[in-house]
Amino acid sequence: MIRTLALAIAWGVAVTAALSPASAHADADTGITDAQKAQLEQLRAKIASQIQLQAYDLLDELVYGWTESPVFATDTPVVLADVSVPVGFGSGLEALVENHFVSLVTKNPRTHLVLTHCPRCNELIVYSGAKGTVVSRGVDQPEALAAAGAASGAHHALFLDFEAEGAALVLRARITSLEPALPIVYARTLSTSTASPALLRSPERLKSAAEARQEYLDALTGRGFFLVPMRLGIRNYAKSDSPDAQATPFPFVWLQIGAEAALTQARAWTASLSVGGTYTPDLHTGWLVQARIGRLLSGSTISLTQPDLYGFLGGSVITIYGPGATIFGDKVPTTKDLLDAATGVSKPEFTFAAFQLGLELRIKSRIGLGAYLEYAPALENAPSIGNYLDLGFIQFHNFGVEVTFCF
Amino acid sequence: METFIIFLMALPSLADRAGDPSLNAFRSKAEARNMECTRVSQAQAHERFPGQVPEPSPRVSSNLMDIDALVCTPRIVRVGERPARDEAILSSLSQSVSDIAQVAGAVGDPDTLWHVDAFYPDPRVAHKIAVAARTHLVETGHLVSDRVPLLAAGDLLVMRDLPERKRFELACARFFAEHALGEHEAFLGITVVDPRETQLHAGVCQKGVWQWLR
Amino acid sequence: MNGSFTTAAPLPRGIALCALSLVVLASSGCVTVYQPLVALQRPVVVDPRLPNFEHTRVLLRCIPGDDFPASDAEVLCRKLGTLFRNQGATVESEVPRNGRGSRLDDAAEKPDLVLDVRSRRLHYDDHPILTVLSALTLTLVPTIVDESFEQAVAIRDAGGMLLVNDVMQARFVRYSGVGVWSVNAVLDLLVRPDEDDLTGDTASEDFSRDFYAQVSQLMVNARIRSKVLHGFDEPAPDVLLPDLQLSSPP
Repeated sequence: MIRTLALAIAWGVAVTAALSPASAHADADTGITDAQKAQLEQLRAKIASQIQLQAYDLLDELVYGWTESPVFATDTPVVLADVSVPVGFGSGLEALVENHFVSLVTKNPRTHLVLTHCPRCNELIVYSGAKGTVVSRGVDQPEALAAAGAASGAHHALFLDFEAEGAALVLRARITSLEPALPIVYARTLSTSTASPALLRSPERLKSAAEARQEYLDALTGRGFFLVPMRLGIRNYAKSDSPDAQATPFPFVWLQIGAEAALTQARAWTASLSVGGTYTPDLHTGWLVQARIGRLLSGSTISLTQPDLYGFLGGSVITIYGPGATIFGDKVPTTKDLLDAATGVSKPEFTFAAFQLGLELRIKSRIGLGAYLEYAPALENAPSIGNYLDLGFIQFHNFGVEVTFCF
Repeated sequence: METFIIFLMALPSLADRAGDPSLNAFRSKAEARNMECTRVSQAQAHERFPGQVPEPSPRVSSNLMDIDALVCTPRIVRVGERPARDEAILSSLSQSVSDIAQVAGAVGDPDTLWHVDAFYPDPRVAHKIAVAARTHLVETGHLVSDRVPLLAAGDLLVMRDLPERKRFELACARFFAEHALGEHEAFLGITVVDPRETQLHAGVCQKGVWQWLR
Repeated sequence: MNGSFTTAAPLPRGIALCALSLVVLASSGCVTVYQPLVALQRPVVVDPRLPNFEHTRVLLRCIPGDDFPASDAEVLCRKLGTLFRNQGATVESEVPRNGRGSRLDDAAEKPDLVLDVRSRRLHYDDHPILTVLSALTLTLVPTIVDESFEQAVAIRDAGGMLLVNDVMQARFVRYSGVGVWSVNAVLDLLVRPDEDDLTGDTASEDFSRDFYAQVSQLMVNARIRSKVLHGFDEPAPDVLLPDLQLSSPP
């Protein structure tokens, strides 16, 4: 009687205990407190949400492979016998993976897989045969399923197994024929370390890894390495605190246009050269030449979906003509100076260099919103100009904002 | 002014290090240790990360300029979350089962039907090992069954008190005697034999004879 | 914690130079950041305080190469010898040089395990512009040297059968400059937990801890594999003695 009670389900546990001396040392990690377990569970839930997309990607690639070279020539009922997630992850991830997989197979009939509902396949069943009584899952005892007529027409069982191997998520899929010998008729291993990253697939229209990669490259190159930025900006010079300063600097509206090049593949570094002009009737006319170098701060590559933040440094040469230029001079403009300039008796002109330090928020390399502080060494002696920020070794005389449109 | 310009000149080099995966002011040693990093050529890096690494220029000979990339990927399960031995075994699972399947494949005939099972203290890890080995054997062209041969409870009781070498030998002999394994069937057993090791051993049972492979 | 874990393995000469330059420049400082790249951060099960290698004869061979001078190889072999002696092994070591026969050929009693260690530099990158700027700014702008090294370990049995073969890779980024050192010294003092400190000799200590732990694990794996392949016929019992007193490291 004892002999006939060889239980298949107990096999793993019993034989492991019998064959593996290491089992005696299995309690090495039992010193974890409940609080630590709770923390671990929280962490695992967080990581599970991160690996979910990787798991989806692997399933996409698996199902895409079946659409291209189906395992079965005709529609074949298959029971999804088991979905197992990496050791340490919970059943929530299993449910997500299972739902996605079923959705994929349902939307891709070219796989010739017809998923079948078979409750008895995954339940423990007791089967007494010529060799004894066995307790096991239905899929492990197909003769028992057949005897009970419970296979729901499915003659194959599909198993999906995910495991985290270092930095890679690995999917092992196999299909077993539900006959007494349980031969495995199909098996495939897919890993995120060898699969293409984020394949941008939709379940209805799966793509090959090569196609998805090409789309990604097209998206990258579609943005071009050269852009033509047009900037509309306002420069506000700080008013001096000096009691001698009588004139209040007024805002200068600038329109700039130029060329911007991506210095790296990911547009992590950019450089631009632009020319610009400013004009206010009766007050001033001005020109500038500006070079800038920008560095992406919000990541190592620009995002296809999120705004990108750049930091930039610039250098400009600015020339201002007209009465407005008198505020940049090294003496306080008198009423006579201003009148002479307004009536054309004198022609004030001031050229100076300026350096900008700023931030720009870009949306898909199309529209940008920027703000910067500007340091102009020549304005250190201008009594009419103060500074917004004095760091001791450098004073920022001007605060500017700008909107950029890239073409 | 001069100091300012010098700082500006240094900025690109220093800013480039902001994305460095090594630990820095904003990254702890634990975070840096949870990265798996490899140095790859520029061409390989471009293949894997086309958005971040440009294609090597055909005009620049590799002899003139040795450019490579350090590719770092965060581990899915961080160090310390799973027991150390489980983590070590699972992290190298693909490589281990590949090595085992290669040796085992050379032992059997092409028409040998393989049964695979793993013996490990944690049954979840044992299941992963067995599945990985079965899958790899099928992928390398072997006939594999999902069924594992069974022993009677009496056999298990006897085996429990035997030294490790004898356990597998006896199990193998009983498989054959009880016709759990046929003439053209082989059993691949994968196990650890010592709690201090982080590697898998494998043996094959064929025609009632147990043979350690690695 | 066994002292051998805190004993520094011979590191690249650059780090020694860094220490020297610290003294010479006086006003400057070095911060070396160690990053395990491959295998060094792998989980380890073996406890190196235990006599894992009792009744085991080990021959250590630290093989010099272009990036691994014989003097460094000798130091490494000496420290590895201490590591394994503390775990109960009988250790011999050698640094093979051109023209000299191996102790393996001469020994009357063959070792149970032969450990070969090789090291080479994979990558070296300095920043010449930063070096110039660092000089101009009296090291306020740091110099940066980025190096990666590979340690290849192969363990064979007396018959020459390869039991374990593994490669470890480590990266060292050396920042030199009074600015970077001062900031990190303040962060170490006030902000960072002790285990995350960057100043001092932490890079060397962290690397040594990882390297010795991994080599110990590989040796245990090799010994057990040898035992399995020889049909478990080793006479030595595997008795773990957790309270065994171990000798101190050098």
